[in-house]
Amino acid sequence: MTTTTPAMTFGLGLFTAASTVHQPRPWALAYRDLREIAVLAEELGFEELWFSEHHFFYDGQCPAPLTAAASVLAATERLRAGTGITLLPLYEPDRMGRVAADLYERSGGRLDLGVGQGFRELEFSGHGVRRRDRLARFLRGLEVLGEYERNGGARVLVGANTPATVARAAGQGHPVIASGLNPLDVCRELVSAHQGAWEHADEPWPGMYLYRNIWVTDEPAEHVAALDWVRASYVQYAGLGLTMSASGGAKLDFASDGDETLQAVVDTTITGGRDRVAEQLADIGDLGVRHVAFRLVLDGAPRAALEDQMRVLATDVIPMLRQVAR
Amino acid sequence: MRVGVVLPSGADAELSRAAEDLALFGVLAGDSDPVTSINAAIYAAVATSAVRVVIRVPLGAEHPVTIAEEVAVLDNVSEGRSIVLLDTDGLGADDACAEAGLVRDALAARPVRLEGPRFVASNEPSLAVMAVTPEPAQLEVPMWVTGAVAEAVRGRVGLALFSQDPAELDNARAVAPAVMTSTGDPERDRDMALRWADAGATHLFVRLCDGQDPYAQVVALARVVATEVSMPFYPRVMTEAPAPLPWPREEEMR
Repeated sequence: MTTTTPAMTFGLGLFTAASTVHQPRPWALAYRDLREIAVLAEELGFEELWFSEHHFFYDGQCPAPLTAAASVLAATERLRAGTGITLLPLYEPDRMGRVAADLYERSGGRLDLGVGQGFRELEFSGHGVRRRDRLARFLRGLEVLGEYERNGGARVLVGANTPATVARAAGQGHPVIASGLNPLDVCRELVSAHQGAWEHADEPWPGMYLYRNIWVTDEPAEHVAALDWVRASYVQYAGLGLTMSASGGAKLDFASDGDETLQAVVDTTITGGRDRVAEQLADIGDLGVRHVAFRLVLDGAPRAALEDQMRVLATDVIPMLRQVAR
Repeated sequence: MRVGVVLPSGADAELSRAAEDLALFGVLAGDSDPVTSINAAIYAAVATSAVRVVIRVPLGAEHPVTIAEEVAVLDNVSEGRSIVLLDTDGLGADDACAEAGLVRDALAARPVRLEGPRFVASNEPSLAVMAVTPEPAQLEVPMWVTGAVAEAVRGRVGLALFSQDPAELDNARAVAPAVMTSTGDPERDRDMALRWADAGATHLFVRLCDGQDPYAQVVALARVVATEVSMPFYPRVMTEAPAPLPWPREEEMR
């Protein structure tokens, strides 16, 4: 195994505090679970928890990821929390900048601010924003948040999944956080685009942030179940109507091509025994990915299974990567 | 009448915990910087499990639906302990009423039609209506109002006024909240609180006095002020009697 893993960090995501049709729970308990999982993540040595954002959806997935991040930062001492991503065009950027700066300061600098444009029409109209204005509002918001960052505030990352958007973020001096939907060949293109455009910036290249669906198991039955949990999780995106660029210029269209698209996503999952998973993570490190967020919050996976995976990754898999790197 | 404390800047978690340990009714977060009040309120909520967490929210700085969504998350994080104090400062009466009404409607468990100047309207039925989720943990999040045009919001939207003058109190309501500023002298504060209680206030928040230890002030609020207004004709001998001795092994058992 050849790897550049010494520089890699490992986080957990994507936390939504959702109550889904197949895994219902009172939202107050979902937020309590979130704090308890954050404390465990900190004890196990994970670097960061990541939160996503959607609005007006039946499962109540978190519409205010900065607020959810605050609840975790208030309950921990070392763990970082990141929005991955928050939908910047929906907000007043000056206010978001102030809220993020305050949270960054009161948490001792443990906040990262991942931002994106969003795609779902209703989320824009329900916040009084025309969807066609989203890019202009996004770029304006990025300027405002960038100013806070330059003044010592939270690091601003951009959610991007095409070479063009990744290169634009790099040109503006922002690290990029890429979706777990991207297969490795697309990740390679994205890393190349970001690193290439970063040559013009003043600071050293920060590496790519990447979500990854992952499940460590030698048990055939658990392997099958874990892949089914990945499938079930992305059915939510069918409900949300997500389409996304994919390998070779193709589109992932959850709404129209449900089964085919879901299988393509399931196929991106890193799975197997400890050695096999460590090898696959090392391959990701070799691409130039420096920050991996394990996408372990899966629809159908009980909390005990999530905690078991956290322990396996923290105590077995990540030390294997570090050991090889030495 | 119940007594709570207005949290000063920079000690949200610690003073909230102290307020809870001393059985005060609630804490008011974000008074010193309402724009970032959601962070202060979350820190107060996570540090406690029983006190009410009042969040001071300025209208006009963010879309009302976004405010409602943050409050909904706060209400779930606090497991149903949040109270919203809307601040109308900077807005005219019409805008303040419209925004306050939208926050209230978005926090209710029924869909909101996307009509009017604060939404983008659509002829497509699925884009003409939405429901804020998650819903709050409480059946109904209490909403109070303060600021220059608060009186208009009270009348037109039906929210409780956060009174700063006993003459403003609305005794027709079951809850008539108010705020006063501490003099730094517990006995004078006690007398002021008694006047608020006599006027009909139900929940009195106290802004602490600058330049004095905030924790000591919270202790005095709990021991001298909150007890005094907890019942008519409170027998003051209990406050004036020596406190019971502490358990000698308390430190050892921690």
